[in-house]
Amino acid sequence: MGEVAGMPDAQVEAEVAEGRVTLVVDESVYPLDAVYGATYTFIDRCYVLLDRAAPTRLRISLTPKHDADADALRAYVGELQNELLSCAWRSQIVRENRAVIEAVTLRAVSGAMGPPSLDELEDFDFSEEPFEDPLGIGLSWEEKYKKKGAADGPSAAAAPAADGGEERDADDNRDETESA
Amino acid sequence: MTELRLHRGLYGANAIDEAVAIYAPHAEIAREVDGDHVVLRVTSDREGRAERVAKELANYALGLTVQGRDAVGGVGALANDANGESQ
Amino acid sequence: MTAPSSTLPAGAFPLGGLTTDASFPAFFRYRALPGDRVLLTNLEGNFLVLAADEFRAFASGQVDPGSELYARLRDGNFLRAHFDTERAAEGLRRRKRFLGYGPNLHMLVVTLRCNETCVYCHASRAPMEATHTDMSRETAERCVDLALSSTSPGITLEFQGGEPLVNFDVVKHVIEYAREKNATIGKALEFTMVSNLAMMDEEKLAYLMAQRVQICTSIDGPQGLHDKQRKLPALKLASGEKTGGSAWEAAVHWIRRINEAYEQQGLDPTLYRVEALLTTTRDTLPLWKEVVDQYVDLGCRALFLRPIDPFGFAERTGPRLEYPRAEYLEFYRRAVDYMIELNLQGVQVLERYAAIFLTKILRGEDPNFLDIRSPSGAGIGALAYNYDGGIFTCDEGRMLHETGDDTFLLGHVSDATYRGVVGHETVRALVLAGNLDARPDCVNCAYQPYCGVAPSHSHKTQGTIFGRMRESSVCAVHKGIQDYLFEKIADADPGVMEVFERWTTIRPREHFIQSVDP
Ligand code: SF4
Repeated sequence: MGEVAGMPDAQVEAEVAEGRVTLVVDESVYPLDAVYGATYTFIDRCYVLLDRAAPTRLRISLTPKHDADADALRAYVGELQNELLSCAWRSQIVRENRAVIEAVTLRAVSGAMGPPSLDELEDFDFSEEPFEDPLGIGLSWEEKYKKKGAADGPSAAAAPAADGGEERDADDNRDETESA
Repeated sequence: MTELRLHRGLYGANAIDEAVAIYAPHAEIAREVDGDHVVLRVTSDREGRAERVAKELANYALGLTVQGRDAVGGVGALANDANGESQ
Repeated sequence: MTAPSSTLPAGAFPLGGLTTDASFPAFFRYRALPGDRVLLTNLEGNFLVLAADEFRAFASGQVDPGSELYARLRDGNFLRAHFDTERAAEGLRRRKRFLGYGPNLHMLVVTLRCNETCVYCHASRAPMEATHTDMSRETAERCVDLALSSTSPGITLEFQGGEPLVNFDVVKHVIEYAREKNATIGKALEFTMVSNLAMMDEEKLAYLMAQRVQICTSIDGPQGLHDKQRKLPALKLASGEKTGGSAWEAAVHWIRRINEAYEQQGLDPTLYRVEALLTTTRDTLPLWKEVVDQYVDLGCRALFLRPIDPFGFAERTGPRLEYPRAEYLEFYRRAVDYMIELNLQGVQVLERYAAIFLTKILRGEDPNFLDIRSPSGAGIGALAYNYDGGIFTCDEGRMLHETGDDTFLLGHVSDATYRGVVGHETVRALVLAGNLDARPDCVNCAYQPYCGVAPSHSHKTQGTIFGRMRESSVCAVHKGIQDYLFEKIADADPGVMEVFERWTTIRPREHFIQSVDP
């Protein structure tokens, strides 16, 4: 079981200066998903910037869109810290319950759809054009992101491509083509 | 001129592309890659505009990155997890 | 390190200092309620209100297995060690029953022409001389053909406009054609007409009553407000009869007359009433009591406190009509508090939003209101047909088309196939976008099992069908209303809970279902 406790300085450093709040968090405690989830809740009120401060530390900057005094900035620190704790915890809960969520959803939805009736099968219009699929819903992940060595699973997928070809980073669906 | 540095491991490339395209009509945006970062240099004749565009663009790119990951921290994250896309 | 402030936004619970446990609970979401209480909801939509101390014990996995709290958590399916997968799947299946069927609501814009001019309506009307915006009989037939090919066992054809009474011949033709066609198909077919009633007459009413058409209208509140927002120019009809002057007077006259006609037919007056809709503008906000009183006075059993939406009006009118959502929520709380008070005195009137959410919260069922479900009903629960035969995922999509945005256009009735329409790439994208399980913020929101946001609204207001909920006025309204309802539920006043239970009672209006043998 992972633990999300209070926030000792080793895990979070906060700084309030020049109309801006900066927090540096330890990624082993606050995984990237939690950081995304927590910072997302601020984009209506603040300009948010993420950066890497060190290999396992993330820097979060919040600049309020409207004037904020020191108290208001401190309130943002408190809110962000709490949101980080909440998102990290939620992330763990989802992970712990993943198999069950999948099982429940699958059973619920497959039951709702039911098997096709004979009439439906008879009515099926095979002549129709296949659906267009601009979002790639019908594609497997490997097809969509042109992964190689699909059988090797996620860890292999994350490894750099030997030929430097079409490989993509595993964490951000990134298209390597930069239009500089 | 305002310089915006977006870490390539934290912001999706598509998200950056789309955000740049959305804000391009509002300011000059030059782009290059510097190591782990995409560097955007935003300029405008109008006072304060470059800074504002840079900040809004960063928010927009973050929003798209999060959306692209299918709902962070929730049930939707499972899809990414299952595909090994999550960290 | 700077000491964090303790000010947290509404709904957040201070977790600092807690050692949280992720393996004790089954999957759940939470939201702090006023009064040191915390709401828990789970995958299948069960809820539990805990005291703050109880929540801390739950969060840290320190609940005595012999305690009453443990039993409540176990009974609500909130504990991993006792998680009942079958029960959760059954609960979820019940909530998502609508996924098994195709579109049941088919909106026909039989004309854009309208005899009234409303301040908030721009994209949905044309002047009375614009006869080219009347739907033809042939187009109407194709709309019916498509609607009746839906896999839904129940089909509602809703006449909209403009003002549908302006093109009454086509309304009649649709009714007759659909009834005839349905004789062999056998769907549970219903007709609904949304009308301002100003062009109603006894002959049309007699026809609509005979054909069992449900009639809905708009009442914006007391006469002064209604007539200020909905202008009805004086008009001399072909019959020589004069109408006009007051849109309110026309609507009120016919609401009373139609309710009387229902009673004359021997229908239960607690169930069969004209449904009236409110559009809340800036001017409505201070008049919450007058609005409720007006509806009660008209004998309406339901009031839908809908905030104004951004689709209908011209950009320049917006600022005059719009208001911050916090002001709307204040209005909502006052009006519904007052409605509860009236109910406790024996007056039966419910608020629609509350009834929709409460049905999901207290009954575990989804009333299938298409804009508040996940995934949203756009294209898979409803279709809208423009006067020219254009098919849209929703009426809002059709309105956007009138302003030059064809994002939600699915095709044309002349050559569309049912499978081509509901399997359209736009419908697929909207299903993905309208699924709260995959939307940032909603995934962490305790209200997720009961909520929904129409992607067309996010598209119009935020430029993305996915929507950013922190900045969404629809999210603000849904969150605010559910905050209000859960505060009441947490207070557990027996009188209020009895009213809430009554509001969730779904009583089907079977009279409006067309019998297969006419
Ligand atoms: S729309 Fe808003 S209130 Fe509804 S689930 Fe999403 S975040 Fe919660």
